[in-house]
Amino acid sequence: MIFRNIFHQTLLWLITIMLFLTLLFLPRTAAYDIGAGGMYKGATYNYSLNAHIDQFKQFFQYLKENKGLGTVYNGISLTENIWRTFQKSMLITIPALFLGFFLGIAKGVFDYRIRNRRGKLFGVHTTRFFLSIPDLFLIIALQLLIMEGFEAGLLPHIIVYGSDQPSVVILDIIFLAIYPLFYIANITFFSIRDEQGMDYIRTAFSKGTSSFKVLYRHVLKNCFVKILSHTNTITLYALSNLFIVEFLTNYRGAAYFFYETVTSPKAFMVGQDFSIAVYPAAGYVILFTAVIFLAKVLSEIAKGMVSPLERNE
Amino acid sequence: MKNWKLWISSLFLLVLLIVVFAGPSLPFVDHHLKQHGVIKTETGAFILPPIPPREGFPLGSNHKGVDVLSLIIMGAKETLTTVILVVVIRYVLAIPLAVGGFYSKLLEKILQGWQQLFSFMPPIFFVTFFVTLPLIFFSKERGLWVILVIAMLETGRVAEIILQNMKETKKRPYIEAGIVAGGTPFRLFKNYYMPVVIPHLIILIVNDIGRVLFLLAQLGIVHVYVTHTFITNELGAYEVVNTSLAWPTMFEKITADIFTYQWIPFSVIGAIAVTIYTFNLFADGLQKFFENKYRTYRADL
Repeated sequence: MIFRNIFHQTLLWLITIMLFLTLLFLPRTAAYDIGAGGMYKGATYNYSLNAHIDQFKQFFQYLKENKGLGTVYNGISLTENIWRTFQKSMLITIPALFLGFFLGIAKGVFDYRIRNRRGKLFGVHTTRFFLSIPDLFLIIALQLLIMEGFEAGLLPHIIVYGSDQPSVVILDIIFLAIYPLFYIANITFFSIRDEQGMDYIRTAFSKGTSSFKVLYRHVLKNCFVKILSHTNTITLYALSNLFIVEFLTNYRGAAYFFYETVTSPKAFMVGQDFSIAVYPAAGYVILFTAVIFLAKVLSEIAKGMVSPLERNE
Repeated sequence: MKNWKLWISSLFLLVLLIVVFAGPSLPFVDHHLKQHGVIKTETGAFILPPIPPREGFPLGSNHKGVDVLSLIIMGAKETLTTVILVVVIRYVLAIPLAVGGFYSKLLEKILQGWQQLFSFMPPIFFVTFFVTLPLIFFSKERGLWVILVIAMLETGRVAEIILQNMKETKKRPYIEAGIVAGGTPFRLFKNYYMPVVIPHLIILIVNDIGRVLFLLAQLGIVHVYVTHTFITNELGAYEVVNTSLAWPTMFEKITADIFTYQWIPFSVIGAIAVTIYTFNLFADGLQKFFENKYRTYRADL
C-alpha cells in the first residue's frame, strides 16, 4: 500500500515537472504595434507550437553541451549556485516545518487538556485567533517591535535584515513556523475531540490506565493519521511564505532568486524580448517540487508506521 | 444566543460595507487624495512628506504626501471588488466541477489532476509566473486575466473539498433511507445532499475571501499587482507603473519603509489584517450558527 502510494506520487511528480517545464518554455516573443516615432501603441502575442518545441529541444541540447545548466560567474556553475541558494532556503524551511509540526501538536494537546479549566482562553481561542489573522501582519509587527524595542532600550541589538546573520536565520525560522504551528494545533485539537467517547478509550480507562497515558499512547496515535494528512498543506504554505520572508528580511535564498528569474520587468523598450531566465527557473522548479514531493512521501511513510490500518489496507 | 463571533464579525462587516460605499463622503476622508507638499507646524518647523501621524494625518502620509487613512478608505472598494471577483469566478468553476465529479469518474479525475498539479507549487509563484507572459503583460484587460489566473489556481482545491464533503455525506445512513424510499438521483441531490453541502459551502466561500485577500497582500509585497499602465520616461523606455488604489500597491517600498516610515506599511497591513480577521471570524460564527441550527455539533464528552 505504502509503496504503491509512493510510486503514484513519484509518477505525479514527474508529470508535474513536465507540465511546469512546458509552461516555462512557452515562447515569449511579442509583436509590437509601433506608432509614429517608434511610439508604443500596443503589443500582440501569437502562440506558435514550433517555437515551443524548439525551446524544449534547445534546453536539452544545452544540458548536453554544458553537462549542467551552464556557468554564472568565475567558473561557478549555475547548478552549484542553485543548489547553494536552495540549501540556504532549506536551512530555514526544514527547521521551521519541524518546529511548527511538533510544537503544533503540543499546543493542540495543551488546548485539549485546558479546554474546560481555568485559563482556557489561552487554549483553543488563542489558536483560532492566530489562525485568523494573517501571519504577514505578525511578521511585520514583530520586525517593528524588535526595532522599537531596541530603540527604547528594552532589547539588545538584533539584526532583522540581512543574508548572513545568524539572528536573521533564527527570526526567519520563527516567522515561517508561525502559521504551521497554529494550523497543526487546530487540527490536533479537533481530531482529539473527534476521538473522545470511542470504545477503545473506555476500555483503556477501565483497565486502570492513567488519563495521561491514554491521551499520549492511544488517542494521539489515532490522531496522527489525520494530522499527517495535512503535512502537504503546511509545506506548501511554508514555501509560499518563504518568498515573503526572504524578501522582507533580505535573505538571499532560493525563493528570492527564483522570484528574480520569473518576475516581470519594471520597464521595457519597444521591441524588447520578454524571455525570462528559463534555465535557472527550471532548476528551481525541480527542487521546489521535490520538497513537496518529499513531504508527501514522508507523510505516507509516517502514516504507514503509525497506523496498522493504513498499512494493511 | 451566545454566538459572539457572529455578532462581532457582522458588526465589523457592516463597518467595512460603510467604508466601501460611504467612505469617500465621510468628513475626515480626503476623497480628492490631495498630494501635500511641505507642511509647517505650529512651532515653525517644516515637515517633508512622508508626514508622520499627526493632526490632519491620523495615520501619516505616503511618499507623495497623500493621507494614508484616506488612501485606505478610498482603496477599499477596488481591493474588495477584486477579491470578490476572484472568489465568484473560482466557485462558478468549482461547484459544477465538484458536483460533476461526484457523479462522473472522468470529471473526478480531471478535478484531482487539477488539484494535484497546483498543489506542487506555491500559488504565489504561479501568479508571478503567469503575469509575465506577454499575453497577459500587454493585455488591455490585464486585470481580468490576473483575476482569472488567481481564481483558477485554487479551483481544484476548492472543488476537491466540496467533493469530499459530498462523499462523506453519502456514507451517512439517512442517504440510504432516501434511496430505499425511492428517491430519484435528482431528488436525493436536492433534498438530501444540498441542505448539508450548502452550509459548508458558505463557510468555505467566506474563508476563501480571506485567503484571496492574503494572497493579494503577499503578491503586493513582491511587486505583483493586478493592474498596471505604461508611461514613457526620458530614455524612451516604458516604465511599468501602478495607478490603482488597491491596498497591496502600498507595499511598493516596504523593505525601505519599514526602517524609516513605519506607518505606511503598518497601516496597510493593519487594514488587511482586520479585514481578513473579520472574514475568518464571520466564517467561524457561521459555522457555529449552522451547527446549532442543524444540531451537528458534537457535545464535549
